[in-house]
Amino acid sequence: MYHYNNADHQLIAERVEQFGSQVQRRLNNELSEEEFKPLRLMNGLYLQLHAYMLRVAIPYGTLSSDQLRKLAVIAQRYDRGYGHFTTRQNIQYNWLELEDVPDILVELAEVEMHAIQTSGNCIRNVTADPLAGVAADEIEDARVFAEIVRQWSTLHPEFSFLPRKFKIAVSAAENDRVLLRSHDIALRLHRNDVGETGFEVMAGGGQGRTPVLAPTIREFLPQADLLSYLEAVLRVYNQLGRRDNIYKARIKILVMETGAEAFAAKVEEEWARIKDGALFLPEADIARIKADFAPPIYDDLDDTDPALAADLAKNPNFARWVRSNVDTHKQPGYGIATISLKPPGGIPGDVTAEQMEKIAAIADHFGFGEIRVTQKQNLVLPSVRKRDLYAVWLELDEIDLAAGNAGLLTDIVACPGLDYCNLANARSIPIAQRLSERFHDLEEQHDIGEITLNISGCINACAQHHTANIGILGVDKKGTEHYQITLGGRADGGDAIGTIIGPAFTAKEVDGAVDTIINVYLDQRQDGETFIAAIGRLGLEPFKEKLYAAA
Amino acid sequence: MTQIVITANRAREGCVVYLAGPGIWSKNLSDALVIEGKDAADALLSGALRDAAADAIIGPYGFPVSVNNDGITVLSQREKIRIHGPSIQIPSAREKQHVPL
Repeated sequence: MYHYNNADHQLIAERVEQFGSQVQRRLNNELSEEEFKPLRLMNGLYLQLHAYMLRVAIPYGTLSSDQLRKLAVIAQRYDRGYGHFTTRQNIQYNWLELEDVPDILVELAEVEMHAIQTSGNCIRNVTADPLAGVAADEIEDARVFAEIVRQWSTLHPEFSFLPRKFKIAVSAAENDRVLLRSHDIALRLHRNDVGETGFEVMAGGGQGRTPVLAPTIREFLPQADLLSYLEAVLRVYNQLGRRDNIYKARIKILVMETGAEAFAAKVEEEWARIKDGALFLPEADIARIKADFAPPIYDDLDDTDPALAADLAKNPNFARWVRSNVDTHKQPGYGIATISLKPPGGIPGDVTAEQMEKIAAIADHFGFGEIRVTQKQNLVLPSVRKRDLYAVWLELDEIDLAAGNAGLLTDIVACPGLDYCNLANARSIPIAQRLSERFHDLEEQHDIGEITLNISGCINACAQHHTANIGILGVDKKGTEHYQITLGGRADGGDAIGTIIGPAFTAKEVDGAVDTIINVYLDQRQDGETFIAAIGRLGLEPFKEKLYAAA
Repeated sequence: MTQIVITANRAREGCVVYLAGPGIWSKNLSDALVIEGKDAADALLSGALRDAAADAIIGPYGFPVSVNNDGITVLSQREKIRIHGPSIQIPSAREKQHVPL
């Protein structure tokens, strides 16, 4: 994986020192909250309901076992023994005191980590396909380009005060695991007619109160032009994006109001001026970063493993786990193992320090010391020999993380909601826990099949409920928590924003409502038809009828 | 008449505090001043904003409560969570529920 060069080390060290001094001045009352707030936000430090919260970036979702161990140490030493993995490849600590934050940043820097640009109106932590480098369905390693974008965007002086936050995602795979069209800019690496690889560029997507799927503004961008083109997009946004209204400040509003074609034309115009300048990306530079992401030295194995076949035959729970949690690796004889952070009744994305340490040890023993963080709030061991999968699963079971539910109903994405978040209107976690308990039966879940269920505690939609097959949005109705359900959202390449099914449900009713929805699907599905395909065929009426029949 | 308590977060720890008297902020809701009526609350809130300007606390605001013999009762879910912490058991406090396979 990529390791910091001298410039990276110097930059992080200077930044840590600078923020440490700013914190000290704040503690000495030499800086007011008004002055300090933009500084802390630039360093990922929020004030939530109960305490300060630090959001630490996990660039392109790649962690070494040493880094994960450090995250465990921080959870233990400065927090309450756990952390929360988010939908954007970050980890959040919920219970920090301000005076400890400089020490935490020093500890993070020791393992080449930081919290820069995880908040504020700047280019946020660049996300990438969590299976990049190992997925059988990719054409290149997306992390190479995510790293190039990270280097360009880190402390970019021109883009440190954008109209609003700005999120970039990169994928090079056939299957979208990054919610491409929900991003301010999304880059999808693909091959053109003559076999060259370049980017489809999408711009102006986002969730929040105005969900928009990003339109494509360029079908094919040569790799060498990546940074100059991004700079052109950001310049157009920085200049024309609205600063008068926070709800209209995201690039999605600019692209919608301008029209995708006209917006693209403005970008092209700006790009023509800077295209072959300092940001031109020579092949040698790309090759240098590629070398940093060279794959580990794999064993030369047959793809089918007799030991795995025997383990599958003797343990149906393990067989289910392999079916749902193990993806196809590009290297024969290896698998990609998803560690579901959604045990029955658990809190999506939360991991204790003890679990982190155990996962780091498993990664060292069985998986080249590498871990990935997914947009579904799970972790991944990217390269496990098929013959070791059973041993890995047994070890995960020791820390209650062996659930075979990845991509199934209880693989719920949930934001922290009103239990932690200053912006939330309603709780997300207890709803996720109730659903997780109600549908914990794995046989039943495997029968229901592929489905996405996301729960956001407010319209900011941090849990990306708009593009979930079943989206649940917490709203406040006269002081009580209610939950609005949307159906039909998807972020799987056939992207769609879900449709609100009808009046909101109370907290007590919401899991029953999901049960009703699932039952309509089970009653009416055709052979092999997934939940989302059934909605496409049936429309929403049969679901509405059952849900509101008694009303 | 509406009864109001003024709350904020303490700048240093980030923790929840309640206005207990002029310039005095307490972590305990039971210490909080209960203010009768919006006008009185507004007057105290101005004082709280001065405390914020002096950087002891962040983001003061008033919220409705009811008071009976048992003390102060908070009405909204948000304020209940601010007082008692998350409504769920945090992961590190959960009993290990390991069921061997």
